[in-house]
Parts: sequence; C-alpha cells; structure tokens
Amino acid sequence: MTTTTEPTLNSGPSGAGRGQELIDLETVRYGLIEVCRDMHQALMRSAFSPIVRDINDCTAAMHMRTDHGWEMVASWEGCMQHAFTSQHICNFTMSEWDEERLDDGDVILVNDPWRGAIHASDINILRPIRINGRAEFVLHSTSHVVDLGGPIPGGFANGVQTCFEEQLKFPPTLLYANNIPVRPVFNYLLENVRVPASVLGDVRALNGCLAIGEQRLRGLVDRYGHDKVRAGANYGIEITEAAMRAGIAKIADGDYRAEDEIDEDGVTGEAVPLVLTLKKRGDSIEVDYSDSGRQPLGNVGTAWCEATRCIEGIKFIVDPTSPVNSGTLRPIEALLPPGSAVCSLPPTSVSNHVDIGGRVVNLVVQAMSQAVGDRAIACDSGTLGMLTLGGVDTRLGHVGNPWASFALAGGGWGATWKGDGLTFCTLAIGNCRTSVQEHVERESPLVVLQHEIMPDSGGAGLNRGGNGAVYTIAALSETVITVTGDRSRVGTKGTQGGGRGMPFYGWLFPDFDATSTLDVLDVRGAEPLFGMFDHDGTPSPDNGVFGQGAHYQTSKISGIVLKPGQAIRVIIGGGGGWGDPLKRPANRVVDDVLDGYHTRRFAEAAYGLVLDGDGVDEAATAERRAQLDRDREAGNWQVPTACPLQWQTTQSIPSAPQRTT
Amino acid sequence: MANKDASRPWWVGIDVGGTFTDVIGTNHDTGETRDHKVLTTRGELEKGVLQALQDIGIPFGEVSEIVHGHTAGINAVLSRQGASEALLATEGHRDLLDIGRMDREFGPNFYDPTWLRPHQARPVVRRRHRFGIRERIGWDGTVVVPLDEQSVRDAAAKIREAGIESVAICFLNSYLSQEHEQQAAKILREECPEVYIQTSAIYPVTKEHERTTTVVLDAYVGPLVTGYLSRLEGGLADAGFGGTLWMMTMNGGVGSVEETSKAPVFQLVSGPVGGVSGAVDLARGSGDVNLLTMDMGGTSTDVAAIRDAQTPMTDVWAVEHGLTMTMPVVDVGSVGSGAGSIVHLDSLGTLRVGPESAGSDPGPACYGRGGELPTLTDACAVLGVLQPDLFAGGALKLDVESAHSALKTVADPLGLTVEELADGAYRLACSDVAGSIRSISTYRGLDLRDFGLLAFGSAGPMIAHQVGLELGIGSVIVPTNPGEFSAFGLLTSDLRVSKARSPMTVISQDGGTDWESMFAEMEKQVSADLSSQGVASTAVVFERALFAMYSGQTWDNRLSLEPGVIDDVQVKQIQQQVHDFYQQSYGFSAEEIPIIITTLEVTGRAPRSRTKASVPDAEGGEPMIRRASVRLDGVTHDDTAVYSRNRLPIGQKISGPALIVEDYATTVVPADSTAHRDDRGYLRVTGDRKEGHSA
Repeated sequence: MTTTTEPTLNSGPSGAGRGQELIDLETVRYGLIEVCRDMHQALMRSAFSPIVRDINDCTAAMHMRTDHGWEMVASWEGCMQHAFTSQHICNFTMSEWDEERLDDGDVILVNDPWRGAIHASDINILRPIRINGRAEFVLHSTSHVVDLGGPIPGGFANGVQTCFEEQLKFPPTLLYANNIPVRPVFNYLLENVRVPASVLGDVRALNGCLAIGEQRLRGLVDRYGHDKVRAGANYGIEITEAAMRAGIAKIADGDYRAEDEIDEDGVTGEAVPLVLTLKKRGDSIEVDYSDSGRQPLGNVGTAWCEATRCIEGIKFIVDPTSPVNSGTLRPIEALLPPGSAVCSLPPTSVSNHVDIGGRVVNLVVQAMSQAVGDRAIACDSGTLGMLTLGGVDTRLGHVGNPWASFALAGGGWGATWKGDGLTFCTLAIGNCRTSVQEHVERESPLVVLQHEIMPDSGGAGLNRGGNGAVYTIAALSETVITVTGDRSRVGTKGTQGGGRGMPFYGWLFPDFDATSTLDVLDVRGAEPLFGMFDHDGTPSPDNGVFGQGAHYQTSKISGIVLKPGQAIRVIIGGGGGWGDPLKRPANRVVDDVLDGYHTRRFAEAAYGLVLDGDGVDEAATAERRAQLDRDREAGNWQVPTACPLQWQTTQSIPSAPQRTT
Repeated sequence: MANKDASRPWWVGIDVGGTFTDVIGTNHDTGETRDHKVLTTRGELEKGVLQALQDIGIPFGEVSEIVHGHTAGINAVLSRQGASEALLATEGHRDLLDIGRMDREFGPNFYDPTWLRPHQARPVVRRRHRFGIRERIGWDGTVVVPLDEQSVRDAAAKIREAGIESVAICFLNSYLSQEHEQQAAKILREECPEVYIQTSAIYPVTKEHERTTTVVLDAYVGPLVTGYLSRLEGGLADAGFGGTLWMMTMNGGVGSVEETSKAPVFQLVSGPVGGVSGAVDLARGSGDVNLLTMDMGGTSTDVAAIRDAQTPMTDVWAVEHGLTMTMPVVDVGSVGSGAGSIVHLDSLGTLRVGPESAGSDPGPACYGRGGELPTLTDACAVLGVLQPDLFAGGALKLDVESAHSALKTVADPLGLTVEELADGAYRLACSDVAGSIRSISTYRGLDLRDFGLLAFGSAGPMIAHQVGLELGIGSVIVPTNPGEFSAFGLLTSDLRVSKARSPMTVISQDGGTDWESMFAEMEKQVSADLSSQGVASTAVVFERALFAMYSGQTWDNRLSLEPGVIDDVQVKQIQQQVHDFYQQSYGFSAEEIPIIITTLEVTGRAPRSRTKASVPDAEGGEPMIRRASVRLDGVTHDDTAVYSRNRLPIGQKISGPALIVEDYATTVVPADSTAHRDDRGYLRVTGDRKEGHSA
C-alpha cells in the first residue's frame, strides 16, 4: 500500500524541542479554535431556519494555505459537516478561483457535491482572508438550508435518479463582492426556493459569522504576526497527526474486512452492497472500498467525499480526544472506486447521502472491532430516520404562509466495552439537536404528539444498546412529508455476542384526534408505511416480511400527504448490544423493565430473566439462562433482534394514502 | 427599610462553599471589619455557619442582618443527592430530560463513543417515576385535550407507594396557559399532602426542555434547601439572633427566606454571584461603570462583564450538558484555571494548565503538604511573583525548592528550563482566562477597550496585568481585601425580584404595543413581593429587559431597556437597538424583517442601605519591603520593588516592575505600568501597552 505522508511517530511529547516558542504556539492553536467557536455561536444564534438555529446543522471552520494546498486548521462543529470533508471543498473552490481578481470581502458560495460538498442542501460559504495582498486563510461556514428549490421540498429527493431532478446546484459562485451582495446571484437563489425569507436569513447569518471570524482572526494576526499564527496553526495540525498515528500504531497490522448494505437503491428494491477493507500498516491506514456495489439507480449513492467520513469510526477507537483538523486526515487514505456506490458519478442524484455516510462509520467500527477485540464497540442505529415536512399554513392568522421543517428524533448508539449505549442521538456523522417543539407548533401547523424512548429498541447485551425514539406528529394543515431512512429490513449489528437493535418503522394514522391513544404498542387503526411485519401487522424483525401489508416497499419516500387530523409515527432504531445478554446482571435487567427500556416479555426472551413480581427469581433465571445458552450452542437460539413482542394491531388491509403527483 | 438599629450595629455575610464557609462582618457604627473561615460541614451546613459566627466573636444579638449564600443546591445536583423525585409531563413527552436537546457536547469528549449524556448516566428523575399525563394546551394557548384528572390521581397513587418526596409538573405550552399544571398540582396536594410540588409558575417562559429542567431541579433541591434554611433559622433564633436573614439568589439579589423559598432553585449557586454584586456596587460607587470581573480561586476563575454598572443577566444556565435551565441569572462564566491548576503535558504531549486542580489538599507542591504535581502557584513561586515569606501574611512559607522540582518533571521532557516553563505556564493560564472573558463578551457586542479589569479572589491580582494585556485592557483595579471580596459582595446586594412573561409578539411598524401594561402589571407583582419583605414601594427601582429576535428565528437576545414609559418613540428606538445588536454581534442586520419580542422581563431591586466604606489609612513604615528578582513576560528583573499594600500612602504613584503584597494577595505591576492606591483604597494599575486582540 502507499501512504502520502511518511510516518512521523514522535518518541517524546509533541511540545518537545520547541523552546519558549511553545507557549505562543499553544496560545495561537487555542486562539484559532476560539475563532471558530465564536463563528459557530454567532451563526447558530442568528440563523433563521429551524435546521440551523435549533437543530444546529451548521459548522464553522478555518483553512490555511500551506505547502500541501489548503488545510483545515481549526473548526467548531454543530453537525459535523466540516470534520473530515471541508478542506476538500476549500481546495476545489480555491484552485479554480481567479485569485488575481480576489478582493477583501469577496465571499464564495458552493454546494456542488462533486466539489466536496456533502449534498446540495448543505451550502458552503467561503471568505478568503488576504494578508499582504494574498489569500492566506479561508473562513468557511456551512449549513443545511430547509429548501433549495427543485420538485421535492426539503432536498431529500427520494425516488429520483439525477441531480437535475433535485435542487439548485452552485459551482463556486461570487456571493458578495467586497462585502456587497451580488444581486443577480441573490435574485436567482431567492426566486427559485420555496421559503426565500428563511434562506435569505440563513445566507446572511452564514456570511455574518465569517465577518465576525475575520475580526477575530485579524486580531490574532495583529498581535502575534502572520508567521507565528501560521506556526501555531501548523503546530495544531502536527500534534493531532501525531496523536492519530500513535493510536493507529497500537493496532496489530493486518487487513480487516467488513460487509454491510443499504436496504435498497431508492428506485428498485435492490440492496446496495458495501464492502470495506481496512488495511493497517505501521501508523497509517488505507480504507479500501473495492468490492462495494455499483452506482445505485436512485439517490442513495454518494459523491466521493462522503465515504471518507468513515475516518470518524477510526478516530472513535484510536484517538478520541485530539482536535480534528488536517492532521486527522493525514495518516489515512481512502480508495473509492469511481462508479461505485461510494463514488457515484454525475449526473446521478446523491441527495440522500446520510445512509451511506452513517453506514461507512458502521463499517469501520465493525472492521476495527476485529482488530481491537473486547475494546470493540457496537454499531449505532445506522439511520437518521428523518422527516422533512412542509406546506402552506391554513391556521387562522397564518393563512398562506409557506413553511418547511425537519424532524429528527434520534436513534440509539451502540453499546461499548464501558457500558450501555447513548440514547437519543443522531448518527455519528451528525450531531443534530432537537427542535424546540413549542416553537415548531407555533410556526408550523403541526402538533408534536410524542417524542419518547422506544421500549425494546436497544440491542440486548451485557451492555445494552442505546434506545431509539418514537416520534409522532399530527397535521393541522395539509402537510407534505418526505421520509429518509434505512435499516428498515435488518436492525443494526451488535458485537461480542450482543443482539441487533430494532430496525426503522413507520405508520400513518388516518384519523387522529384528542381521544386517540399514544400507547406505542397499540397500532390499531394505524396503517403500516414500511417495516418488517407479520401477516397480522405485528412488527417482527426476525420473522416478518419486509413491506408485508405496508404501503411502501422502502423507507425512502417522497410525497406522503397528511390531511388535517392525520398523524405519522416513526420509530428510529436502537444501537447494537455489546456482550452476551445472558450475562447482564439480572438486577440491571429488572431496572430496565421497571424503567420501561425493555418490556417484560422481551427481557424474558432475550435475557432469560424470570421475574417474581417486581423482583428477580434468581434460581429460575439461572436455569433459564443455562438452557438458552445450551440452545445457542446447539444452534437453536440466538439473541433476538430488539423489538417488543406484544402489540395490538388491526388486521384490516389499509387503504392507500394519497400521493402527490 | 430599616436594616440597622443602634443595638444591632453588625452586618454579616456568610458564604458557604464546597470546602470553606467564609464569614465577614462589618460594624456600621465603627466601620470595623472581621472575617473568618471554617471548614464546611457537609450535610449539616448550619453547624459550620453557627460555628463560624461564634468564632468571629460578634454577639448574635448585635447582628441586624445576615446575608447568606450557599452551594447546598448545586452540590446536591452534582452529586445526585437531591430528593427522590417524580415528574408529571404531557403524555408523549416524559423523556425531555434524557433527550437533553439530543446533541453531544462539542469538546474533548465529542468523539468518545462511550460518552453518555449526564442525565442518561445519572438521572435526576428515574424513568419509572416520570408520568405522562393526558392533557394538551395548543400552540395558541387553548385547551386541546382537557386534563385527565384520573391519570393524575393514578400517578399520585404510585408516587405515594414509591415514597417520593418531591414532584415537578411541567406541561407542553404551559408558558401560554398554566391552567392544567395548576389543576394537577391541586389534585396532587390533595392526594399527597406531604410532598413538595413545583410547577412552571416559577418562571413560565417558552422552550420546553429548559423550562422542564428548571422545574425539575427546583423540585430536586427544594426539600433539602428549605429544610436547611428552617434548621438554620431555628439555630440562629436559639443563639439569640433577632435580625433579618437574607438569602442570596442567582438573579444577583437577595430575598427573605420566605420569598426565596418559593423557588429554591434560584439559589442553586450563589457564591460567584456575590462577587458580581460586589463589583456592581463598586462600579456604582467609584464611577468605573464598565468592568470585567475576574475572580480567581484555587480551582477555577469566574468572569463577568458589567456594563453601565448594571448586573449582567442571562436567561440560560447549563448545570451539565443537556440540563439547561432558563431563568434570570447573573451572567457569570467559569474557566477551569485556578491557582491550584496543574501544569502538565496533556494526551497530545503539549503543555496545558488545568483543568485538573491540586485543590487545597494536598495543594501546590510549594505548600509543602505532600503535593507533588506542579501548579500555577508553583510557577508563580519560581517566577518570584509570589514571595515565599510574604505569602498568606507569612502564615505559610512557600517552599520554592519543591516548586522547582515539581516543575522540572514537566520542563525536562519539553527541553525547557524550569524558569521558561514557569513563564509559559503562567502565560497559558492567563490566555485561557482571557479567552473565557472574550467568549462572555462577544455576544454582548462589547468593545473591551472601554472596560477596566476588576481582579479579585486570592489569585486574581497576580495574573491581572497579563490577562489585561491579552485583552487589550490597560486598566486593572484590585479592591480592598480581594480574597474576601465575594463574601463582602453579599453585604452589598440589593433585594431583587424578577418576573417574566412571553408575549411572542411582532413589533408593528406603527409602534403600538401593550407592553407598557404588561410591564406595569409585572411591576405591581414585583412590588407586592418586595413589600412583603418590608420594602416601601417608593424604594423599588425597576429594570426592564426584553428578548428580541427577527421573525423566523428562535434564539432571542436579551436587551436592557432604558427607563421610561414605552411609547411609540421608544418602540422605534428599540427596533434600532435590535438592528445594531445584530450588526455588532452577528455581522449583519435585517431591517426589512419584522422583530419579534419573545419575552418581557422585569427585575425590581430595592437598594439596601449601604455599609460604610472604610478606607484604612496607610500603616506606618517604609512602603517598600525589599527588592527581589522577578521574571515577567520572559524577562528577569533583578531589582523589582516589593511594596506592602497597607503601607502605601493614598495617591502615591509607584512604577513597575513592582509587586504589591498584602496578606492574601499579590498584585503585579509590569515594567511599563504605574500603580497607586486611590482615595477609596483600591489599587489601580495602569499600563501604556495595549497589545490585545479583543473582538
């Protein structure tokens, strides 16, 4: 294998040999991170769309011109757009920009996925900072915007095959010239989106935070001088690189292969196979995606950049603490076969992006787990299970207002060697917050009925997977919904003998009123949208059939229409379990039952628990566990996938919901 | 209000911290001040308090007022030793605390897959005790689903059965209508008369997660705090105290025990607030109306920005990640750098100071109490900033050799001399504190050049000049007795009561609003609360604030209002104030977009009569104690003058480099600066250098 950089493993501390200069280096290194923190805070607090201001799907970063091109020297993450990808965007943009004609206060807009943007919904704003007449730094903000035009509101263009059918795409485009808005660009942008006021507000905030960042960065340069600031930035990169390499070096050399898949390609029912081989040599790693499936028909493939976010899974295990910058990327190379699912070529649509983005981290986690044994971690839920919602408000006082919103309920993270998995969290590649539901209800004709822990969603294990969420929302005006999710056919994997997490499910409630129950296990009157079901409509990940009795044969759906008085419910899966559930101390399983993390039935089935009232029947539990263990040895039992075992369902064949045309 | 009389000349401030209980008393008639410290008696705080009061030798019968701050609440939260608690939430929303807004905290644990949100790892309310109640208030405040009384009674039965001590009730959209919460509370009081009950009524503003956290934490600490206060009141009465006991609260003011017991969560943390109160009092008195405060103790440094001599306020306060409260609190930031912060190589192999601290036991290596890890104090001892024989009034002679050896363990791997390392550690610690000050000032849109730096806490004065340099601030002020300034600040606190309402209205172009009547109504309530504490209505000063944002946003921004009736002219001014704030803080304004006012807030304060500021005359004797070798900013000055603060005549200018030493603090005067004691006794250090990079 090849590596771009020579091993630079330090024997002593990174700070050694710097002399008194070390203090300035440290001060500048922290100062640059502070600049990014201030940019991010300003952005989040001043943005307009819920996905930025509440959900925090936005990030700020700083790049510096170095001998290797443009390298990210610091960032402050909201939703992690920048960690492993943003310097690529900067390099693409700056390499084709005419620097001769660059002026102070020029600001560039770009959202082209093939130039490093993750998907077109994430717009990137870059502000080159000139020192002595030459651009030396680029300040960079990114956020997801709620709508960027195209036929399907919200940008997750499920069901389409080309980028021409999704939303506006901007190659590097001058947005502000010398701090003055470029009017034709703003006109074009705002006249082609559904919620122009929100988009305008976000663009202003994205640019405004860079202006704040420029003041701060210039303050640092004024105080320490350009040379010292450059040296401090390089120091930050070097110590991060050293920490990554030191962590990698501790793992045994070898090739570690993992296979997984995306449920379906977004157009047909065909699965998309993903294969990753992690080749570890010395203090470097090559991530090879050869053998992954061909470019899918639908929008689930990704432009090349997305699959490099798997570096996060490596970082989880080898070096969780160093600040992310260009040094995080240096020890790692990725091989992305062009025309494959992880390097789909234009003009395909890559608007989904999150499913492969999340899955590549799962893949690396699985591969690394082979390398690290009992320091392994289980996979997270493997899907965002996102709802994109929009329409025109008809409530009194709001009549005619176009609105758009996102709902992210959060899945579970995998259990680890240390303990149970994290509950309520988006995929590792993101870090979204919840909306303020009281604001959602005021601004949109929606009622957030339920956002709670889903019982039996975390994979069983000595350490239990984090729980996923159940999320139920009702419409007061006609609402168009896009569902984007995966892992609806098979739950995410456990490790070291732990069970799978619950997969992704959806239902529609054609009549929802004040008397309707919110008991998640009572789905009478509900129409299954997607998921693994028995013949009578009971969710059954291990024995059911995907899509049986359901409206859709996929969980990637555009154009569900909720009429006023209707509701939709999704269950986001939990994380995988770690270790043998038959060894989880019985009193902890009882606590899980009392707290509603597990139902009694599931605790009996997956943990071999026998209850006597609210307490454990120790002897009977020991005996049942021994029996299950023998059955497992004999191949007659395996840890069941997480899912409640007792539901109330109607067996009627549901009528088809309306679809937009 | 009468808060002194001839037979009771003493005022006493008591600040109970995690380690020490500080007491300070001042005599109104004579100006005499006494202070004392005892170890905090955890679990029975009143014992330590009564002991400290006895030790200080002031007869209980001669005390007219006690102002009290404590950390009983926050300690119970952090150690999860509050009441056994249940939560009644809207059906479908009982897990708000676990969701915690769902994000991971960006920072050192961001990429740690084993990280858990604190409330998942250590719940305040276990899930089995969170009850979803069938009820619903709609987005416009109307009842969508009536309260199901039976489900409240069912929950009550389980609460009784489980022996729960305390219940929080917080429903969705209750900021618009508290009908259901009050109804549920009424039922619970019938069903469980022994149980402590709290609702959103304590601060009924929007944002369900933050509001729920506030109510839940109140119910968590309520029984414990009210129990402590009643024991303390009893103990004080038994000892002969016949004056008034005032409680310090997080809104920067004091209130009677009865008033503050309505929402004990407001006294979760009151120590740092005392320092800010003292600083506001100083700002009002001295005319230094813009101050950055820096209170450096052993383990951390608290910072705040005071503008126009106003108490800086914010509406959110994060106890832990994912447990964020909303209520009016003094805006104090904290950074994990203190005098005991450990100088070390972090996991990246680079030099850091803190956040781990050697604490008071074993303490820094130079204390000679068995501490082996080098600390900021050790660095200062090696630099000569701390003079070994003058530290703590000579009570503890610093062991410079031990400091040297301890620092050497870090200096050697880096290839630095011990002196270089000490210099670097000192500068890094100052840089961290400066960064923290910048972060609290950025969102206020402050120009730091308009500010003075008020340094207190035992260690504040020894780093102030370097922090000022980082920030571009040329003026440092060190108050009298900087080590006890926070306890003293308790004595200067006003009575304060805050109320808020969330109208969520758009400012209309013609200016017509009903805010004046809303403010007036809240001010009437505030007056009533204050008059129940003995305040004449004419003595109340109101401070009005509103929270504004552009239509379409949700992060509102707190803006203080100028005094005066809100008329069309003032509404126009408010609009301009919002646009200016956005331009300065966020880099843009959007004048064509309507402005939404989310929340109106009123704070009423009744100034308590002030203690007499006593300016001790210079003690006799030569002000300069000696000349010593001190290393400052990489340069060793062999003939640095060391002065005794108490001997410095008022107004006499001294030139740097110099040290000014008092019993519990040392102030550094750098080479190109001058210092003097002003006519109030404050030390003022003024520099010519302004190299900082304030935003």
